[in-house]
Amino acid sequence: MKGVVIKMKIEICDDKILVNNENDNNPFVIMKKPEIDDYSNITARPLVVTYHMTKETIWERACHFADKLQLVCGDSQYFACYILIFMEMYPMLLSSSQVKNVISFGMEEESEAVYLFREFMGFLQMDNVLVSLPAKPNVFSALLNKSCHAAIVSLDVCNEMITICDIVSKIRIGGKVFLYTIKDSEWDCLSGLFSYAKKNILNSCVLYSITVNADVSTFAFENNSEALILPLVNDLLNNYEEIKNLMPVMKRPDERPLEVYPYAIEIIGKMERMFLELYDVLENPDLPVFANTLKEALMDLYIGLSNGVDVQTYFDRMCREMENFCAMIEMEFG
Amino acid sequence: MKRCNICVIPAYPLENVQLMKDRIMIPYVCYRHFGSSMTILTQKNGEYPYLNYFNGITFFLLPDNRGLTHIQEAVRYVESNYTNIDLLFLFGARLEYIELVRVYKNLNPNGLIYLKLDANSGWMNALPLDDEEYSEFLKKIDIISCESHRLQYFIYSKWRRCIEYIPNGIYYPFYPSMVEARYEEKENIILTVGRIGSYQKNSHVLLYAYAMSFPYFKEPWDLVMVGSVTAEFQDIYNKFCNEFPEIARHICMTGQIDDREALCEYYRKAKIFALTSYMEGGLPNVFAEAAGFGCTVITTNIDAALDITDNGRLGKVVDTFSDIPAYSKALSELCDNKKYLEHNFYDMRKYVAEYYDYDRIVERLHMLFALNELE
Repeated sequence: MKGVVIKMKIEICDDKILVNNENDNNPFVIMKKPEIDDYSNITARPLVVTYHMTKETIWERACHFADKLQLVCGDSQYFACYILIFMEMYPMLLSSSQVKNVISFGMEEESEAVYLFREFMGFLQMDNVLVSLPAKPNVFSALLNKSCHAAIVSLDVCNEMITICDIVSKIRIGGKVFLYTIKDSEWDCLSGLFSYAKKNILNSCVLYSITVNADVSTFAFENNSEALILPLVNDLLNNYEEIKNLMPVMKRPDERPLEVYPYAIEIIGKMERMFLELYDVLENPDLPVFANTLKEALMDLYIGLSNGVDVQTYFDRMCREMENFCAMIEMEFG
Repeated sequence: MKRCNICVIPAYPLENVQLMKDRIMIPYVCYRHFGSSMTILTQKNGEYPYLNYFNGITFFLLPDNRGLTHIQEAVRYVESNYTNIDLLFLFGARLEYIELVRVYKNLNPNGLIYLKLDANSGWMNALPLDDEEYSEFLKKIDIISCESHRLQYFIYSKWRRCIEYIPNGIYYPFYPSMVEARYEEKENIILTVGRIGSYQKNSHVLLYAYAMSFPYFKEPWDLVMVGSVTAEFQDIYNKFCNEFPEIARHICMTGQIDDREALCEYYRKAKIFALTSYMEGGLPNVFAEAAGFGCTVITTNIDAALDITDNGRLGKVVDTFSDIPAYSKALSELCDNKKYLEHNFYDMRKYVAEYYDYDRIVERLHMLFALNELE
């Protein structure tokens, strides 16, 4: 992380909100007061006072937000990030009167910054929500794909392509993804996604803003955790088919060709490992151990056959375990 | 898998009696099947007369005069001899092994490490899986096994990795009299073997359950308790003798029996083998011995209870650990069922030969090692 935090001061002028920093004489414009009449505002709140309204306007609330941000986050390393996020996000928030669902990942869950963003969004539209998600990759399984308007993600907490693509998958077409960081990093691992991003830099902070279009969405769905799971499930089911094909041969009482068993054992061993990879998404988490029990029964039978001993007990057990195993798989994937 | 050099390192200095248990028996049978050498490392801990049973192995006594612990000396040995170790056998998921495993895998990444857990669910539940160092240690182990299916389910879910089921069994060549055992030679004896009176063995349950059953036996039954006796249990037993002198006449406390043939004689004569343990490290080694001699098992619901009894087919499982009346009821029923005991003599022996013969178990282990190499 960059060691020195450059002091910044927000300045609210009559027609714009600026940020000045101690090493630079060029102020950075966060927001300009809209010209009248600005019909881009289609929220219930007035954007600016025209002639007869005396209630608080969006412009006034934006100024209030900037003030408060300076007050509560002015010393934070992420102050510049929050400024950039606000700058990039407010047009989206004002773009329609739809209720906006925004998710954040990696922002401190109940931080002052989250509170301020939430308050500002609530002012614009009472039912707007900013949900601060716990920084656990499996949290996304609880959200519908393409259901949110925007996501705010700290790259310093999460920079794995799979997780970020999981997040992007939850954003609707036209929505926004904001990835922020204070780390000096090349982020090579994310270059595929960053080709779609606009990059803003303010002091120690970098913000990548992505507008989710069809291309971005396709990219995300090709690289998210579902995309990893599906080939694995296909592979698993192919192995299962293979086992089903071997079953009649293994169950033939008069003729059990020995070479079938090591092959079947290898396949079941593979399936066991695949189940473990899929463990978090399995409806039945006992599937890997069922595979192991079947593997054990197959080994017992094979060893018995190789040693030329009476294998009836092993054979009966193998059939029983095979039946259990198949029933469990049919229940899970059938 | 080609023949390999096997090295066994216990977490603590080995005792003579442990030579006959799974921690040495399994690697030894592996050595007989597919080993080119077997070395046991330990700091000296008494004499080792049982070593006479083991042909062809190297028993390497680690120095104990350099101020280093047993495991520190073992690490030193591995640093100098890792090229001669293809298969490292470890017992118990113990913190003591962390450094040893790190050193061995760094020096010999292709070497195979097999960890036999020798565990019960209470212990497994208490392991610090959230500790990074410990979790790294477990990741470095190639094959991990436990001794009961119930525990296998539990650890599988908790550790989310392959855990194999490798029970404690019996090596028939060490029990020549087992093959000749006949039901006709058996007597009405209820036998238990272990550290009598230790907390784990819960021995007072057997003593009082036997006493409760005693008036209802249709034929006289004797109780034989083999093993060293704790002072606390000796007190309990003395009081028991004063209270129930009639019953006490039918109870024999043999003390520790080191003569294996003498111990086998008890197994050979007993019809029933009784376990009352609260918990067991894996599967009690004595089980396979008793079952191999055709004893019917009655046990509390330890992790391995269903495996031992083939889901209750070959014995009785008493669900609770301290319910003396329930244990007594199960014991009485068993003692009264002559036909079952006789039939079970044959069924139990067949079951043990099929599933607890170390020669067979090790063949499966060999396949697992080979599969691991394929991966």
